[in-house]
Amino acid sequence: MHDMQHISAYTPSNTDPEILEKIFVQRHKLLAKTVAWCEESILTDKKNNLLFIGPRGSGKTHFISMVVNRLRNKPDLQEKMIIIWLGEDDVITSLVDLTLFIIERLVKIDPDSFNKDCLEQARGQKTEMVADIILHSITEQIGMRTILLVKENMSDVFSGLKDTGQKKLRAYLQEKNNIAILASSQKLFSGVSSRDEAFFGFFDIHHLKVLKTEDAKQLISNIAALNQDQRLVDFLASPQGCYRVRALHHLAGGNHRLYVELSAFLTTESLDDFVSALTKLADNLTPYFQERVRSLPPQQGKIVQKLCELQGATPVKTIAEETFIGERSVAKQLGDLARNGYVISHKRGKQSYYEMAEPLMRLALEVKNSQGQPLKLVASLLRTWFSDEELQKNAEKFNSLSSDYRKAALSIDKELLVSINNKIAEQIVLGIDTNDYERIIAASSEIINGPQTDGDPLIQRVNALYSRGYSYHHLGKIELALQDLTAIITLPDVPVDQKAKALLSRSVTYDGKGEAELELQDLTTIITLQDAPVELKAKALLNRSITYNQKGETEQALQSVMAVIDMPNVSKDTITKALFYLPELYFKLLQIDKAQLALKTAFEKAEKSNEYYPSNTGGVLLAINQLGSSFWQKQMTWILALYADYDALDHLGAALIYSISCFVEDESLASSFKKWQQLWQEQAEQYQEMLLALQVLQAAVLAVEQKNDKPLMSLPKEVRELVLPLLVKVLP
Amino acid sequence: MNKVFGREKVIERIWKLLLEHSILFTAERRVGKTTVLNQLIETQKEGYRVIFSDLEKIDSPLEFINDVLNKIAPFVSIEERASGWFFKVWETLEGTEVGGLFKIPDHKEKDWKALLQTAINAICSNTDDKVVFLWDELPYMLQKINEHEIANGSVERSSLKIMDTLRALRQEHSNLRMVFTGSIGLHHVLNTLMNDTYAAESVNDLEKVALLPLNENAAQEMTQFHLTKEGLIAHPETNLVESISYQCDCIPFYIEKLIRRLTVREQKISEALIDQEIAYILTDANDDWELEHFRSRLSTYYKGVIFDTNEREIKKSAIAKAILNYCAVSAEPQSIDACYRAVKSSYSIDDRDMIITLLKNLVKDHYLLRDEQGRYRFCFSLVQRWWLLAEGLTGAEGNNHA
Repeated sequence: MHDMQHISAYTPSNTDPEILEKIFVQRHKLLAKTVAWCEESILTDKKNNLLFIGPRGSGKTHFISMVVNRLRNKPDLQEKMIIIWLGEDDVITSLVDLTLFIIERLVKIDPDSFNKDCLEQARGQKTEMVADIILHSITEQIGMRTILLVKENMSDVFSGLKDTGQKKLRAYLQEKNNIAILASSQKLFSGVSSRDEAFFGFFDIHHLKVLKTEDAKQLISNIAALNQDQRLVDFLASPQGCYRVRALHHLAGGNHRLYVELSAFLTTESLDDFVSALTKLADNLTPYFQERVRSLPPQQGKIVQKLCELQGATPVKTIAEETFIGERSVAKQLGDLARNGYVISHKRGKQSYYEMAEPLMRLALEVKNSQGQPLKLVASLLRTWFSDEELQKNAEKFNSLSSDYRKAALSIDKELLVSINNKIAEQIVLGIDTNDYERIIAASSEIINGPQTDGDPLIQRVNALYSRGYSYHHLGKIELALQDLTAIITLPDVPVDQKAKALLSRSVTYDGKGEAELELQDLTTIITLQDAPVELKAKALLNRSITYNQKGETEQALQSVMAVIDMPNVSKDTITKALFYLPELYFKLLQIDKAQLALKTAFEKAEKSNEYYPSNTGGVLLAINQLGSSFWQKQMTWILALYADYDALDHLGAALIYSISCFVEDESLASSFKKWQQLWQEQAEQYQEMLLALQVLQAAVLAVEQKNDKPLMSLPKEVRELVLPLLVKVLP
Repeated sequence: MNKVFGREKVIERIWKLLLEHSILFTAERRVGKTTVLNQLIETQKEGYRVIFSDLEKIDSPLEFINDVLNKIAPFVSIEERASGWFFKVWETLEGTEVGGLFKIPDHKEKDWKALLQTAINAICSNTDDKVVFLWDELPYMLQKINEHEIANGSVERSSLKIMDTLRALRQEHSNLRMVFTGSIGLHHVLNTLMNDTYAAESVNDLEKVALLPLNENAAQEMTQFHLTKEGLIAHPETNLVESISYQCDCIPFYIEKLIRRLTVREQKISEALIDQEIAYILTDANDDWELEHFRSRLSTYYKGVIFDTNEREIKKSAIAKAILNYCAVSAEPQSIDACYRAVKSSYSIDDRDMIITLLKNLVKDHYLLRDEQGRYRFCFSLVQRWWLLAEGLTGAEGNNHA
């Protein structure tokens, strides 16, 4: 176990500044600019008063701590700047309080330069005078220096100052121009957002964005690197690691604190397992969530607890009935809870549905009531949903395209860095790191258009064409992508492996354009290409099988995939994909026994740790569906037992949910949707792991029947968000 | 000193006017009024004492006088403070000094008028310099004093008396100058306190200086400066600079704000990004550019009702809004008659003069501009664009752009 660095999720200002720098993500530009604006405030007459808005756990304190730390490290500012950071314990109930805190801090920072003699003079004076006297003294004492006043939860300060105090403070700041404010708040407050208030328009307000998935991954990775856990860093960079983080992000959102909290105990194994990581995270966060509920007024606390129990979005009337609180009171309390970010509402006709805004809070608080079952089921579903490639659009081919492309593009910096003009190589690498495809195109074009210093110009050219083609593809410039790939293929003396790679990529591009014949041509070329790498041939065969299947040429598809399975020296990934693809083809050929055997064989032969174990469950389910309803019951019983035996019911559940889209997209299947759902309900309800999928299926059937999304309200938010896109065709 | 763009002429004009006059300085929010006031302090000429005060914090006449004296004190020598004219004035006012601040006792409140006269008389008589008071947020102070008195059941009408007293003092002292300015229109506050004629009289000796947005060149110069300062592009391309200054209506606040937003974006700056940012700002619920206040203040500025031809009450603010809605959707400036017709299509009114008055006020309040042909259009295209979106209107070309 590595020595874990101390990173406080709740008080970043107590964390070593160097650590804060190392783990910082997402806001680099804003940070640099904020430091520059503060610097401007200190060195010039222009005072930039900054207010950062972000919900709980969004990294405000981390950000502000970094600003302050950076300013403290600038020697040219030290003579001109005085930083006064008022803490959470500095409760301000009036302007007098604020001025007292400031002067006391000044004396504490530098007792030789500052004094609080003015307090003696202020004693016995009217309250209005006291603040004036202290401010006057502060002005005199600080001279030409600037105070950088740092305060979090600025809204509390404004509440304390009230109207008169705010106006006096505003006038003082305007007249004396010797204080700049660096502040944060969980949300906008009337003191700055209401036109009638003195500070309206005073602050330069910045709304801090939540973490996107990539940022969340980077944050976890940075903390892992800090803790010298290279395994975890590598895992996060892998596709599987990405999927896990996507699943986590779907549930936890973009809250910085959650990821810092998670990183305290995360390992490769626990992240890969996912369920255990999430369970531990929920466990660690429970006291924090409980404290938040305890801080609420009693009725609101009761409502929150009930919403956690109820899981889905619930009408106001139902909440009232369940809590035995009057409906009007409930409505009012829910309004307050919504304003404070605890709940969200959905209006459907005349009814409003409410649910917890943070799924993780709901799941964590429910752990005790239901032995953590809902959390485990959701975690299991999300783990599968975001990793099962077949559930992603164009999964098989596009994902292999993008990973191949990426690998090739990344290889440039290793192979060519010494020979290529370093600046160009840097641009490509930077472009890859930042997904700046225009940058990659520009840099690659430079290589393509002119020879570089040393090294093999052909290899340089091929790699540059490949990375440029990759970038064109991502930008949707398909014809240009095809041109570059064709250029590789037709280059004289191009190495066979490069040609095969380019052919494979071009075939995937043709597939994206719906040009099956051209795709098949390229794939067949690879397959028959002498000395082409085995792995590329295997991939070509597999892709050909998929395309034949899509064209309805199932026999041809079967032959291609069997060729892969029988091929020696093929990667485990490709073999695993092929093994799990075969059963679908047998089902389509009505060779049920062979299909069942093939699927069992796949489970037996493939390695459980492989990314594609299992895969194509959705394809198998669709094939079973196409057998006709008379076959369903038996096949359902069989497949449930098989997946249960191999502990893969989570995959079956996810695939079952995804199968909803087939019924929605294919009108000929629509009428059988209900029967499909009913049979699954009967066959699968004994399996705990399938309960969530069954709940989803039932809600989906009702939604399709009623042609509205109300039935989906009973689903937990994080599950509903997965299902809604599948039903978009039938819902208004 | 901060870099200031395009205000040299207006500052020069103000100094010229201050030779003989006091000034009513009007400016829409965000146009740069405070910057100009700061420049007046920075460019203080010999023979002038410029004293700046933000009056927002003042809620009584006595506090006002305290503020005047405390602001003049730094200009007075130690000797004068100890035993000279300042000391004598202080004695007359029965003032005390606490913690470096001068204060007149509260029991003298009822004599505030005399105290103000005494204070100003003394200040002006004891110097050959022109004493220039820059009084920012004066309308707020007048409002607050009035509200306090109403709340306490007083009928003093001190706000009016302050204005009268200040006017009399301006007449009396040839070396006294005042610059009145504020975020809300002084004319609105005065009209609330008194009738239109009386309101006009208390400030009719003031020269009016209106601060407009920057001219194109200055706006572009400012844009270029800030872009370079923020390291956005080393050599700003002309079209980007033009785009920013044009889309921001050459208003310094908006230019700076937009550049700030662009600064923290990860993308390279381009016209498309600028358009995107502006579009986002115009629809952002947080209203960082405070455009909503153009709409919300209508009910404050245009109080009262009129009666339609069926003797039904219609709020003046509703009529004002109808005029603005009409001007918003029009690609071209509109005549009085066109505006009148537009209002009549929604309300049963028969009072052209009322429309003319409203149009005049809408110009005063920087909603509209009147061109040489006497036609009206939105003063700021940005506000017009926002208005179209906020009111859900469709522009002349069938889209939501001005």
